[in-house]
Amino acid sequence: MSVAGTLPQSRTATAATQPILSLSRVSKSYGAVKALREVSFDVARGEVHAILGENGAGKSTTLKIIHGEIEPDEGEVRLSGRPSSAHERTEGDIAMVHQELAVFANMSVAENIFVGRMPRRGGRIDFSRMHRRAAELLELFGVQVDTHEILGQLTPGQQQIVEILRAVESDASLLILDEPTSGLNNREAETLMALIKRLRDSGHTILYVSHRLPEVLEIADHITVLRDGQFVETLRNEGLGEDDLIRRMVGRDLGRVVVPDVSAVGAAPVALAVAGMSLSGAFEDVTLELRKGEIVGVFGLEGSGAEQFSQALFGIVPPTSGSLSLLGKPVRDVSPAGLMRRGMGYLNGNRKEAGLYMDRTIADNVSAPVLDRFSRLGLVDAGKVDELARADIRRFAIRVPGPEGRPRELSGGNQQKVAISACLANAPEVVVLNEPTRGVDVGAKAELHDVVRKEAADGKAMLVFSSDLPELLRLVHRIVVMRSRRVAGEVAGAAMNEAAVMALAAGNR
Amino acid sequence: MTVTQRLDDTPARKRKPLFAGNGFGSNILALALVTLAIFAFLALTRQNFATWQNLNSILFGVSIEFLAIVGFTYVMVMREIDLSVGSVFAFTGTLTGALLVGGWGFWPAAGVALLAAAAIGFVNGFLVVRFNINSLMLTIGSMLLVRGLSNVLANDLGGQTYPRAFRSFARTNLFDVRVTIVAMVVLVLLAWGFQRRAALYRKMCFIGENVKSATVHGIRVGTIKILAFVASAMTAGVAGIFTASRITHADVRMGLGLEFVMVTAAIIGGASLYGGKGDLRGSALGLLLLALVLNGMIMYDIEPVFQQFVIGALLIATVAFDTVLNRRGQ
Repeated sequence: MSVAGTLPQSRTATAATQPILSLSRVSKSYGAVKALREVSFDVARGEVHAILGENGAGKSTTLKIIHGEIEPDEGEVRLSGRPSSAHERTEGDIAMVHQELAVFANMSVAENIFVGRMPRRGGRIDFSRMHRRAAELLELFGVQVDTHEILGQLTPGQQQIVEILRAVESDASLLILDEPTSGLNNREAETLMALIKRLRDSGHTILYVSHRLPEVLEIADHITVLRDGQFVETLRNEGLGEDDLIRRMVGRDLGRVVVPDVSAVGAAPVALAVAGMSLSGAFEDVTLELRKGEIVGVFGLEGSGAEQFSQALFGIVPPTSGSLSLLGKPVRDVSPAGLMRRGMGYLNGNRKEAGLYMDRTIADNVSAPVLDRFSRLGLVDAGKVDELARADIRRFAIRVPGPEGRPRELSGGNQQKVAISACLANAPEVVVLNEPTRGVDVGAKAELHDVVRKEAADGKAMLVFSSDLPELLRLVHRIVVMRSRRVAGEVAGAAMNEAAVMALAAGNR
Repeated sequence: MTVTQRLDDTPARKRKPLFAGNGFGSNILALALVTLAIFAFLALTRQNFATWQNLNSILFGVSIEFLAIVGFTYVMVMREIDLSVGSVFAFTGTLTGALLVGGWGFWPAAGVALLAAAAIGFVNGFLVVRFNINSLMLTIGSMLLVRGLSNVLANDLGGQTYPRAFRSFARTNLFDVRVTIVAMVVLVLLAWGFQRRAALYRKMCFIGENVKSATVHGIRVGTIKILAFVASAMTAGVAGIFTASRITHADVRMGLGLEFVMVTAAIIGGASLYGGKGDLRGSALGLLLLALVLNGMIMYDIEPVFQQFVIGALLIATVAFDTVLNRRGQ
């Protein structure tokens, strides 16, 4: 079936003009959240088609529907003009390379490429044919790797390429690449770009999702922009610049609704000072200052290192270098316990993973960080715990019958309020909040924002990490933007808008 | 929202104590009734069961094993396990005996043996905390290693009888009752208070329920875990010293399989492989229940070789039950 020297050709088109893929009025909801609303666009055969959008714009939902992992609530996905079922798409003609590597680290390169469909002869795997075929593939795409090499020994970039070749070998005519460069360095990313161009030249259609605008501009023939679950526009990639894309990603209402008053903050004492903090492999040389009463946002797209920075800041993964001081005094014990004693509070980005005890009472949950304060001679004063829980339920308007309720019985918004109660139980001076409103409804979101503003008005310094950019713009005084593991810049005041932040977060400057 | 409705419908829900465990074993009363039922059955069907001598001997045995399960239970609360208890138990007892045979005084000998036990516990805890090693596998390793040390000592002694003073140590009485039985009663009462009120016990439950949450809440997870492993080894050591005295000579079979009795008893008593709970009172009842079952088998002339079979069956049953009850989320 394979002839040396030929590329694996995608199936010849029934009608060359017919788009290989076309979505019409596709909608999808998760509970009350509308992830996609009537999205329609076409992908032409043999092109590289990029999908762009902010976090939460609906990119991954779109990809999952195209790949047939989930069914749309409404609308239709046509393949080469024919209606198709989700099952058909998963099984057949579409191959998807997910963002996270899904490789067999202990198997050879060749085995990884041919996993599940190794060439056989008389019931046995024909290893020599498999390696020969793998070597041909690698050579065709200019990848210099031995097919016998164990995959775990390769760099992440090479592994990524092997995974893409697996998709190529599967003979799919449409390849979906989801953020393929997020784990790669610049050189590896360039190799990958070259590979994608060769794939296109050999007749494959590629659907490409990335945060990195320069890459998209370099490689895509067409660019479809999504925003808030809706289709914005499909652009021909001719004479486009980063600004054109950013404007479409964030919408036209670039002005800010509220400009928070920062005049009072300027002279306040510094509450948190981070100098030259690094965590090897995660982020480098982060320096920032936070004054009392200030609300500062930290924004970064995936892979920017923002998430790891917040964890290092609270000593969950201790930083490898740099210094940290709270209220003017350097902190030596950079561990959660040490930092909490010195007046820091921390809200984890995923409350179920860390921040709540799902099957313990609200009273247990909110008192966990302050047990020692409520104890004498190591014995807990149950009355005080109960009092704290009742006070928190009133203060944060948590909708539970009483302190004996358990987070598992609550809605997402109320769970988040319990997690924030625990985070603020120790009356911290500096509060690090990660995704403070992830997965909560609109009403609870507004209530949580009020909590943050009130804390700041009381002189607390609030550092908010959020991937929800509109939220940050509404909530914070200034935004520190991270890109490629470093601080890319900062925007504040009138200059603080989505376009400016995205230009720093995704741009090349 | 259905959830809110359901909660609102039951505003007069009975006030539960704020820090109750929620496992099946947390219902101490039910466990006590089952134990009582087994007791009643044996007392009614076998006449030599309910004799003062037999009951006293059961209780004495349970009280010594109980000492060893104290630390073990609290290690389990934190979703770790210490399978080296049986070996540490044997090692500490045999080392004490060996030092006495070598002419040491009782207190120095027992003190040094307990320090050795503490060191083993510290190494277990340190490796678990520092390198995040799975405690199940790690303590299987230390179980074998310490068992080896203990057997070397026992072989050196060649079955030699311990000095008379040490042999009578375990039979020390307090208020006309064996001192270990008194200790068990006192410890159960203390544990009751500890589990109701102590900040440390709550922290242990938080660690067991969600170690990441506990870390984020500033609980010193590492320190507390290491302390619990040290406590587990030391309580096993104390029990080992009493046992060495009771059996009067060095024996390589001492404490063999004890770790499995401990796991079974602790889970029957309310602990879980999934952490977050555990009750020393329940563990005591669990040991008593197992002891009654084993004693009953003797009363019914069932071959002693079946004992292992029964312990194994009970272990599988309790672990299966624990897993079914605690399958979370999905």
